[in-house]
Amino acid sequence: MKKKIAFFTLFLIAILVLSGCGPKTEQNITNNGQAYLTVTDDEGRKVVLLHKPERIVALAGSDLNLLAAVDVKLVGRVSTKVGSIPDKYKDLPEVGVTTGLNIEKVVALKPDCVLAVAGQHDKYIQLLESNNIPVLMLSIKSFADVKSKLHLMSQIAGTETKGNEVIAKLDNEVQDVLRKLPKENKTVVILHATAKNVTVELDNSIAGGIAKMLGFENVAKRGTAELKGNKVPYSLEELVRRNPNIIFLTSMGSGSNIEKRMKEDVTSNPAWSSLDAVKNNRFYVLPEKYFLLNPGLNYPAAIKYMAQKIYPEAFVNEK
Amino acid sequence: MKSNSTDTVGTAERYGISRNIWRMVVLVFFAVLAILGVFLSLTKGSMNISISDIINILQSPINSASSQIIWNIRMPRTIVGALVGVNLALSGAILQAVMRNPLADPHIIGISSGAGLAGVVIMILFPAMEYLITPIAFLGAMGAAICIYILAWKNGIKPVRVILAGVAVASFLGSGISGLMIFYSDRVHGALMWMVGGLAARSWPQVTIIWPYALVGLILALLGARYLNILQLGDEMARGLGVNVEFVRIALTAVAALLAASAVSVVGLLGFVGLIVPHAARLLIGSDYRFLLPASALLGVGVVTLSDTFARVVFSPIELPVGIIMAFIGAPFFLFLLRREL
Repeated sequence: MKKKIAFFTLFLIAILVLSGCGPKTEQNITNNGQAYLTVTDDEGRKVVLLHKPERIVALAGSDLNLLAAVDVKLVGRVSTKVGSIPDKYKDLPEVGVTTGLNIEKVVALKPDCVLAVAGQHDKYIQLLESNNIPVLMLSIKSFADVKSKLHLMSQIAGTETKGNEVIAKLDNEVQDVLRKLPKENKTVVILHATAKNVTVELDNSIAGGIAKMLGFENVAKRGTAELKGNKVPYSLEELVRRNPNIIFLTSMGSGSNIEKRMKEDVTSNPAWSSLDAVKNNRFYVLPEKYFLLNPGLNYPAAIKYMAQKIYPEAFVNEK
Repeated sequence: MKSNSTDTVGTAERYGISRNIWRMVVLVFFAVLAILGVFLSLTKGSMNISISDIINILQSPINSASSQIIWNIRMPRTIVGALVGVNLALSGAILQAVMRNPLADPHIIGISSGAGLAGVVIMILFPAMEYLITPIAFLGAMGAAICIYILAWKNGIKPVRVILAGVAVASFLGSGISGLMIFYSDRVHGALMWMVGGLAARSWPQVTIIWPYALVGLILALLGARYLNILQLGDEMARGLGVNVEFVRIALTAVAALLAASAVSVVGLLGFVGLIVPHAARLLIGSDYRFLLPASALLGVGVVTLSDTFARVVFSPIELPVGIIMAFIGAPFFLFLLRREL
C-alpha cells in the first residue's frame, strides 16, 4: 500500500513537473526600440513585428489573391488546387497543403513573418515562435474580414496606399449592387451543401453574411443566436413553420449539372417539398466558388450573384 | 453472457414466474416502449401536435403547416427510424450468435466502414452524384462484408478470423475516410453528418427503400432463430445435431449484412444500436433467439424513435443527429456490459 502511495505521488509529481514545461504562449520579444508594427491577430494574440518583414510565407490559399492585390512579396506559399494562384506567386517554393503543412520547409525558408490560418495552425505557433518567427493567425470569412485583412497585409508590406485603393474599389462595387435593390423584407434560409441532412448557415457564414448585407432575414436566426459556429443542424419542421420566402442551397463541387442535380434531389423529397419556397420554385443553388470558401476579392461578384438571383429585373441592363 | 441472461430469467423462475410468462411480460414491455417511442416521435417536435389532430390530418389531409409536417416530415421519419432500429438490432443479434462473440455488431463485418467510405467519397469527391449515395453506400457496405468474409475464409470460417479481418479492413477503409477529410477540410460537414448518422430530411422515398429489407430480413431472421440457438452451442455440437454449420453461418451473415446495409445506406453510420439493443434485450429475456429476435426488433424501434425524438426536442430548433444521442447512451451502456463481463 505504501509503495502504491509512493508511486502515485511520484506519478503526480511527474505530471506536474512535465506540465510545467508545457507550451508558453506568452510572447517574449524584448522590444526596446521602435517596433515596425504591433498587431492583434484573429486569435487575440499580440504579435510584434520588429522590422518590416521581407520574407513572408502565406499558409492559406485564399490569402494569396488578397496578398497579390496589395503587392505583398512572398518567399513561400501553401500548395492549393482551389482557385487561381496569382502569376507572381506561381513559381514560389511550396510548403504543403493547408491541412498538411511541411513545417520544416516553412522554417527552412527563414521567414520573418508567417501568415497562418486561425484555428487550424495553432499547433505550429510554438515551434515557429521558438525559431523567432512571428506568426499571425488570420481568419477571413466576411466581407469586413476581407477589407480589414487587406488593410493589415498592406500595412505589413508597406503598401498602404495600394491597400486603401483596393478596399475603396471593393466598397464601390458592393455599393453599386446594393443601390439597385428594392427595399423589401424577404425571409430566407440557407442550407449547407447537401439535401441529405438539414444544416442551415447562419449570419456569420459566407452566404449568411451576404444575405444579411442584401437585407434578407435569415429565419434560422431564431433559437441559434448564441451559437458561435457558422452552421448548425436545424429542424426541418421549424423551417416549414417559419415558411421562408426564399431558400438558398450552397453547393460543393463544380460542373454544369450540379445545380440541376441538387434541385432534383430536393424537389423529389416530400420532406423538402413541403416548404412553400420549394413548391414555388423560389429555391436557388449557390456556386462553390463564391459561397463555400471565402470569395476574397470576388466578394462583390458573390454579392451580385445572390442579388441577381432574387432581383433579376434590377440587373437587366447589365451583361 | 449466457450466465447473465439465464440469471435474469432464472431469477424470475425463483419467484415462481414461469419462463414463458416472464418472456411475454418482457416482450409486452418492449412493445409498449416501441409504441411510446412512435407516439412521442409523432406528437413532439418543434411544433407539438396532439394525437387527435394527427388523426384528423390522417383522415382528411389539408394543406396546413401541421399537415405538411405530419405527412411529409414526421411520419416518414418515424417509420424510417423504426425500421432502421429493427434492421440494426436484428443484424446485431444475428451476428452475435453467428460469430459467437458478444461484441459483434454490423461494424464487425465491415458494413459501417464500407458504407462510410463510399458515402464520404461521394460527398467529398463527387458531390454532384449525391443523389446516388444510398445505392453506392449499400454497395460499399456489401462489398466490404463480402471482402471480409473471403479474407477470413480458410477451409471454412472461424468467427475469430472474421472479427480480426473485419478490424483490419475497417481500419484500412477508415484511413481512406480520414485522409479525405483532411485533404478536403472545407467539405467535411456533410461527411461528418453521414458518419454520425441521422434521420433529418428522411421521407417517403427512404421508407420505400428500407421496408422490403426490414420485412424480408425479419422473416428470414425468425426462420433462422432455431439455427442461431444451435450455433451458440459451438460448431462441434451443432454438427453433431446435423446442422451444416458453414452454410448456416454464411446465410445468416448475409441476412445480417443486408439488414444493416439497407439501414446504414439510408441514415448513415448509426453506432451502437446493433450492439446495445441485442444485449439489453438479452439481459431481460435470455439467449433463446426465438424470443430474443422479436424482443431486439421491438427494443430497436423504441430506442431509435425515443432517441430521435430527444435529439429533435432537446435543443429545438437546433437538431442533433440521432447518432450522437445514441452513442452518448450507447457508450456508457457498453461499459456497463464490459463491467459485468469481467
